[in-house]
Amino acid sequence: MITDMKTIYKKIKFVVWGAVSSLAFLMIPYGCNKTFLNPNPLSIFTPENAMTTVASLYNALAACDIQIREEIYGDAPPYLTELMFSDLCVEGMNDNPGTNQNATLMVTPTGNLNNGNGNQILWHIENAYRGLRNAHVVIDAVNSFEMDETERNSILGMAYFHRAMRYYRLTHQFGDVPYVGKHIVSPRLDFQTTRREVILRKMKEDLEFAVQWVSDNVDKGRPTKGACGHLLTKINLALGEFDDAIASASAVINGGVYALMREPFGVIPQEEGNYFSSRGIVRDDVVARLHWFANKHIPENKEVLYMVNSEESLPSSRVNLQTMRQAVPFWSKTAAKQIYTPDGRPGMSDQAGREIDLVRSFGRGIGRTPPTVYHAFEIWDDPNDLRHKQYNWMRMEDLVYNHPDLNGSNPYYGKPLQLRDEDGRVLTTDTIGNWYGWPHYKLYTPDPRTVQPRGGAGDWYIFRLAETYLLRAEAYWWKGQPDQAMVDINEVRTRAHCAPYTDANQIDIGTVLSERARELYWEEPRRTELTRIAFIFAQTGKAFNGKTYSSSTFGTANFYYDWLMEKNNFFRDHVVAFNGQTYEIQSYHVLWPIPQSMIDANTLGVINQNFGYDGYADNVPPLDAIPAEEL
Amino acid sequence: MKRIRLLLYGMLAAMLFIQAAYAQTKTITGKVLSSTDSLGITGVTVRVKDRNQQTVTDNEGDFSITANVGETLVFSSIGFGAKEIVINNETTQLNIFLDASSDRLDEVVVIGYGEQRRRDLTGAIASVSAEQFENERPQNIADILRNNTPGLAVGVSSSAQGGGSFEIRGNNSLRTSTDPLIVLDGVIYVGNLSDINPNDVESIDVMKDASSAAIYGARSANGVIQITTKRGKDSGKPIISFNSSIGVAQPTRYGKVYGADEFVNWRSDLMKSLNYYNPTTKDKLYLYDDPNDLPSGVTLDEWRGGLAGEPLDIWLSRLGLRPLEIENYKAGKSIDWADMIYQQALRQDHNVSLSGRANALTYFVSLGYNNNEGVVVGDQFKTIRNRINIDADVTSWLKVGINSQFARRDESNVNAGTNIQVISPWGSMYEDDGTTLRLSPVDDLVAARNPLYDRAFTDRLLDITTITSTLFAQVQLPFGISYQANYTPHFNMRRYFNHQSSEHQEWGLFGGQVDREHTENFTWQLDNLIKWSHRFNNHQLDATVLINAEKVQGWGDNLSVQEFAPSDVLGYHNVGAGGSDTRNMGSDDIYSTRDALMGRLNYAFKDRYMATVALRRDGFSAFGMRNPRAYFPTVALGWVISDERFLQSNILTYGKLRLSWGENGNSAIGIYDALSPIGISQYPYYSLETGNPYEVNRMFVERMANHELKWERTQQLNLGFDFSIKEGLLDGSIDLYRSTTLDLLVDRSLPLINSYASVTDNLGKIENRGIEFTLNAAILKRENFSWNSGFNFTVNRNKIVSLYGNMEEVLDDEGNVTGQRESDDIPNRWFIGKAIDVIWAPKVLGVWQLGEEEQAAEYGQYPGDFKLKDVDGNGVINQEDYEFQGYREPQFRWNLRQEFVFFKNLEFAFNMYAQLGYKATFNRAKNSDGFPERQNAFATEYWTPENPTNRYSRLYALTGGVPFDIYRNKSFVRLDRISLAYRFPQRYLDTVNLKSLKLFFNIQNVGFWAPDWEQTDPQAEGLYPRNYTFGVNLSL
Repeated sequence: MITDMKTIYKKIKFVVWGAVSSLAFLMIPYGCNKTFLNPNPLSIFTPENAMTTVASLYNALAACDIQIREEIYGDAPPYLTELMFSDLCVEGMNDNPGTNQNATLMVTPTGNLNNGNGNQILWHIENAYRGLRNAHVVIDAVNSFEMDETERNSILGMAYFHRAMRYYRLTHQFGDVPYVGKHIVSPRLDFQTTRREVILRKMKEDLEFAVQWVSDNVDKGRPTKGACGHLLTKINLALGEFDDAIASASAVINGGVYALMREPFGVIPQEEGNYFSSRGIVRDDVVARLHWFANKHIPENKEVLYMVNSEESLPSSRVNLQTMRQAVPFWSKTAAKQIYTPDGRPGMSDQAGREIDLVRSFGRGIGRTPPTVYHAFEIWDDPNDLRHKQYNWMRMEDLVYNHPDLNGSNPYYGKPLQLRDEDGRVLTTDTIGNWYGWPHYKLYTPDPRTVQPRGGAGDWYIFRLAETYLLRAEAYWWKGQPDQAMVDINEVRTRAHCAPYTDANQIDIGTVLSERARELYWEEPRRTELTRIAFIFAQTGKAFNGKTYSSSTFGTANFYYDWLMEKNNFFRDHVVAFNGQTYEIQSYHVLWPIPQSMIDANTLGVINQNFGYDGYADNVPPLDAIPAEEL
Repeated sequence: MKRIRLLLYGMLAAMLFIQAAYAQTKTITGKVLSSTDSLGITGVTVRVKDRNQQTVTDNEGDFSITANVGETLVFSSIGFGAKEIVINNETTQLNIFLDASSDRLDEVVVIGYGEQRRRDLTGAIASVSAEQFENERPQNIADILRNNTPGLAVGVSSSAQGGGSFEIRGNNSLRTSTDPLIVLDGVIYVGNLSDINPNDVESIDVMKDASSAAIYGARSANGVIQITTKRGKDSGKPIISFNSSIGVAQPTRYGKVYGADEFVNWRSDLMKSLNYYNPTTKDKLYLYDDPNDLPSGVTLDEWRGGLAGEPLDIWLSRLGLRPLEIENYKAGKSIDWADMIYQQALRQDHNVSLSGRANALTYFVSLGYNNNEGVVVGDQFKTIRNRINIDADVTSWLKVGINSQFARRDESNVNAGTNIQVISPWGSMYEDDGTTLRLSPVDDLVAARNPLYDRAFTDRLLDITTITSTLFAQVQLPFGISYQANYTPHFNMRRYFNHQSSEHQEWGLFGGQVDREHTENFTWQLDNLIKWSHRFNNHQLDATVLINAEKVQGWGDNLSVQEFAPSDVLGYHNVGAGGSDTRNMGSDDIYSTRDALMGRLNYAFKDRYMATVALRRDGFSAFGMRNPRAYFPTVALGWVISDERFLQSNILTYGKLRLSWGENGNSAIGIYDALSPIGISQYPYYSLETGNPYEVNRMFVERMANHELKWERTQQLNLGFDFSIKEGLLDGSIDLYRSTTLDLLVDRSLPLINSYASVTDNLGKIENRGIEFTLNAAILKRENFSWNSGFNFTVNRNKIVSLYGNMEEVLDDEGNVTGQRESDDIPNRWFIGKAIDVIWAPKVLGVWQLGEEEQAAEYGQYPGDFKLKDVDGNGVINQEDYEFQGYREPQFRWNLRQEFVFFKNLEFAFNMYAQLGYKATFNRAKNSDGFPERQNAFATEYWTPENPTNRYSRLYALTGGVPFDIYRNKSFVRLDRISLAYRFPQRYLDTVNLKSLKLFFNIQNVGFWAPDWEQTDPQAEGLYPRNYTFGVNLSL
């Protein structure tokens, strides 16, 4: 036995020693090989190995499109920040102490500007520059290899479109901002602010190139020639060049490619849940169909210039809209703020699959965007307006008490909601967040993968021809041609079955803004557009309500603030929200603050702060031309 | 490089030829005796210096060993002073007398690529040996090191797996990990620490100063921990050791939430606080009072406010209780959710080992099984670990061996959710049928999920198998030269299979989901070591040269699928049954390489003056774009002053001064961080003609490239003094150090205009200064009682010296430029001249009290809200008002250990430690988390008009739009461990042929005292379990 063991040991020894010594000799050369330490990325693309084909440029352009989508989709989308400081809506969430009612307190350079339960101003500036990166990756690569010139210019035009989109938003959210014209590949800390007009002028040039080369014959979701013309119109307006705006808008309207959808098309909307089906309600009209998720991308739809996509059947790329969660009132609120029946019982249930399944028909809203009186009542001037038609536009009184505990025992079960009982007592405490009407036709998207739907995967319009008409109407009005403006507004109105306006003397910027509110709610970046209009007032000196504005006092007196004080009853009346916050906004909020972190990190240059905010005193004059190295 | 290769080949070739003719090897026999009683000493290690050849004396003290003329034999044993004898031509038979000693100076300490007596060290190295933790049954390496070594801070963990983070001598890095380098049996260890069985560990040596760590160059900036595993000893016969322990872990300090009875009162107060400042509701706070206990003057009818039904229903519904909660409230059915998710956890650990020596072969083989439950329901960690260490003396000049470690970790645990603070005690665990788990205990998913729900529908397999082996060969060459080659393959395989069942209410909506992931990593390392040792007259020279290469390769792929048809009953075993549209797959393969060259020279004169000089060059592919290689030098000096005639005394029997300087590197960044990766995801478009959707890959440049990226380097100066008073009655050391870290690897924050928030870059300079003090005392040593005591103390201060080098002008009050200073990085809260962990924030003065309504209103607040200091008094709290308010890392740490032995066989020890002078956020004091009107909350004191505290705000307080945190002092003292062990007397054991038998019991985390910290454990900032362990050690 012992001898055996010895033999085995000997063998082991021999094998081990043999292996080790031969390996030792084999491996020594590794230490000296010159290529031994070269990085070897096996599973990741880098610009060096990836941006080398035409196809890769289209792939990079997709990054620009996906990024536009991020503003609208998901829970607490950054789009909310555009609505909450506008004339249409305010912050409705008040079951949290830190929300966004008081702009004076919350909208400061060092405040929390990146809060889903507050404002997301930081997201807007950060993402604008991130979007510029994506566009610049394409712009920088387009000349790096041989390709057909038409295709090259069309790709470049699409990238210009995306760049102009970002700068259009930036210059109207933040005013003067640093201009970047290239993909930044090494750290820079020396940015300087460039004047807004200088940036817009450069964008105008780019878009004039884009409308020449970008085609309308592209798949839905890619920027079109029409979208470039539409954006060019906005920039022409912003520059105060109204004739150019009329021309660029007319090119889109009369181009023969796009048309307002005046007749029903595509499929008839059909919601989940049983509210509509059990009542035999069918929403079938042109407006209901135009905004039904399944009709947005079909070839028959001639109204869409540019859209972002999300398709339930494509799980790798789909994201949920969650518009119902954001914008539908918190009708299912519990606790002290719930909705009671007139006989004092809890009335509402957000459980799916109950006898009266409201949650699947409307979604479980949390009431983040309660409308102002202006939006809820004042703008609705025509009883035939399809956009305000019963069941397209849901009123609280169209909902019914559905709490299962009422079933069989309570006379109000299945009956319409009442705001007050017979004695006039209000039956819910929180009339800001729980009780308001909403455009169901626009906000509803089936959400089959969520127990309590929030709004599922579906497409969203970014630019529609209806807005092009309203932009041209605006240009005519600025030019002093209200009759022409009226014609364009009527195009949009009559499609929604409203009676046309007939008295051109009644047409003013308010008419345009109200029509935009009716037509473009949850589509246009409302606050950006208000600020654009405020800038035009300041540039042109045109009077509004007998008052004129100037650029030099823009922070203290501007159309944006005056319009909000007129139309936004929350800010005007300093309403106190449930959480004790007071609704409040200042005239300098016409422009958002540059986040302090951005100014602090830019140690080798000065990024200007906007008027009214801490740090404004440190400003230096902005650049009057685009720096040569950015061209 | 070429030259070295040539030299190496030459030497190896020469060795093969010369060896035959070279035969001055001889066998030396002898006896080792105690100098006090002249009896033979068992178990003395007899070792050929600088070679891995050794033996152990038998029961009579006899030994036999082969060695070459000119080599040195080292005799060492615990409890005796070591002795060295040089073999000359005449040496054949030796009688060695050893002096009894408790002198730690004779311990052998593992230094990089070799070992030294502590007496000869020039660096700062702390050691822990197996006996020190035998009674404490550590379950992982972190447990061994926690508090046993000054200057090394080890974090705590609440999981079943245990562990904790490491940090040596403070934080010297802004971005990269502070984990020290682990060296296992002389080879850099790339595996997971939990794969090393603590029962296999013989000793651990922690290299703290740059000089000793610099031997490991590029990865040594955070210190080096050398782990030595057990090897076979010449014990005359094979030894089987069995040890087994069983224990219970107890949840402590998880943060109490409002219980069933407190809950309704708290809600009532919450509703009042919510409505107190709302003009429309503030006069109707009685609405939230118990209808049976209304304030005077309020009638039940007023209270009803028009609502019908039972007053109790109305009240509870006003307090936000959902119908289910009301039902349960009436039925008195409450749930303590903490009881549902926390448990007394069973822990067991069983190990068996076989070791010994047979002829020229020594062996150590072990197998261990560890199965720990965690204190959170569902938490479990299981591992099987196996080790084989074999050394074979093939010839007198060749020794080969293998160290092999196999480990399999099972991390399939799916834990219960722990955020029970959101769940009402009046919720329900089950549906009405009493057996089906309820998805939301209060039928409101936004408010709360059932913490046990998801895990009930999850089936998971997650295991990691690793094999780490080192094959080595040592060749003894002429002239005191030896050559060693180590080849170390490391294999790591991870499997993650996860099935989310379609029976789950939510997961059912997408037909269930399966994820499968496979990852394999293979790493090899090769060390070539050449050593030369030479002694002439009073000069001792030891030289070491290392040539090393390493390659890491990994392959990973993953698959995820939903919509199973016909069903997902096959769980994760049949992914083909998933919907083809829902398939999502990916792969991630990695590749990185390193190489190293190192040379070291140790020199000693008269064993009194020592010097070490070393230089290492490291290469790493992560820096391979421009700067793949870097050099790391070190110099160290030692002077045994007590050997100087003018300093000799009977009190200071030993004293050594050490001075060292060295440079270390930190390369702990992602292997592709220098590159600019393009992310791929999908985006849909619709065909213009057909309207059909299709997806394209979207390419998105994710990060700014930095091809100039290079190593982070730390330079450290260390001054140390080791002393021993009265021959080890009291010994210890003091070390003072100052380290400077340069070219820090940072995520440099950029102005967002760059479109990248940050870039990985080398910038700045950080300084760490500190003192470490260790004292060990053999306080009493009697026949039937001995008492040893150990104390250590650490203080470390760090400071940012420089960041990005951007200068800004300093202005005086008139706006004149008076100079320049470097800019701070305010977004990252990094300030020139301040510590990395400094807190810069608005200062909380207290709480606005009644009577201060007007001042509070200026800030958009009300009485009961936290009051912030408005330094410039301008009515706005902004960065101008921020102040420095202390530190996030402990400013002082100390550890105290006491060991007692009664009647030779009963051992008792305890250990306590403290971390002092640091703060952390305690935002529960703000009473504003979550959606309390729908949820529960941690039971935290709150402000009310009747309780006008300044430490807590009212429920649901307003912040005035200013982001701020509440900081509380975390300083604490912990009684960490108590252990008790009984060793059965040898005379009983001999009768049943047992070698040893020991029973022990210990408690870990006995308790702590933290005067300013509440609710959670201050160190864990959460739960930190208490462990009770009982065990037995048995050797045959």
